[in-house]
Amino acid sequence: MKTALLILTLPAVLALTEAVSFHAKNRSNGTIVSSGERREYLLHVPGNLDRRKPAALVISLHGAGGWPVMQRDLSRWNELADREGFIVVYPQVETGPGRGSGTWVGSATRVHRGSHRQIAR
Amino acid sequence: MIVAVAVPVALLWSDATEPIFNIARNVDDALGRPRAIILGFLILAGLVGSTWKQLVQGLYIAMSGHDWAVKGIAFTTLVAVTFGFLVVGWILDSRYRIALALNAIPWLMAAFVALKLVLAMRVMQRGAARGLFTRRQLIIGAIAWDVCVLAVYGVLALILPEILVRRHYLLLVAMLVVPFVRLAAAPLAVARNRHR
Repeated sequence: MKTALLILTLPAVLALTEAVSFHAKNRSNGTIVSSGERREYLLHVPGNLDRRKPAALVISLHGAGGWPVMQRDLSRWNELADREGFIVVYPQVETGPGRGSGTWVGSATRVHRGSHRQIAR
Repeated sequence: MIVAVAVPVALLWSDATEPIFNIARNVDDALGRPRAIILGFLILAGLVGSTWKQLVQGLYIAMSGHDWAVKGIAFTTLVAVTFGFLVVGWILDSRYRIALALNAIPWLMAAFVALKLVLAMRVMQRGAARGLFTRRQLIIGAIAWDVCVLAVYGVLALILPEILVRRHYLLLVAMLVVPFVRLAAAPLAVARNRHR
């Protein structure tokens, strides 16, 4: 009986492993606190960027249900940034109960705008 | 057979042939020919599988022999569908609610998978306790379900690029679409009916 139950839960264990692996592979590399909320982003600074000079910054927002690494891979801003010498940031929309909707719409938009200005600074 | 006859007839009567071909052409352009062909077969298999599921998933209710169970399930389904349409309309009225609903889909899927597994374990335990399933049958049943789930997951993973859809969402979908509990509950319902 126990063997059958264990076999039955294998796909669920696999899903959990995939979820953990996804979160490990798609981690953001920066955070700020804006409007009392901790917000994550993925920042790309080209290795050849002259840090003494001001550089342009591109803020690239993912689509509904997306995430920063997905936006980076789809947009391929990093390749252009390396070639042209500018910085790219991919913010992560807030998700979860009471924190946000997973998209850049609704009452959270004003707060997101504030956090984007803060990232730019 | 039903699907093979119903689909062409429905396409002809509804004048939907041209829009369907347009969608097929767009899918072909977006995914490439091999993936589009696999998607076509998957949709066909899904229609056949769905027809079979519709035919067998209600067996456990009918086999229980309880008039109230059959009527109760029909009434509950109608109520759920009616309220479902009302709730969907309410959600579609607001972009914020649409966003919240989209965000909740993975959590709802995970909750339904957890519920399905708990019910499956309960049905297996009760079936084994009543002597309806042997240990070997339970193990074979569980392995068969795993194989079907992984097959559906494999096909979905093949046609949907990893960059767009998280793999664990596909596994949740596969676990939800492959039937188990209601099929396994049919022998329990028959046994209960027999001993009424």
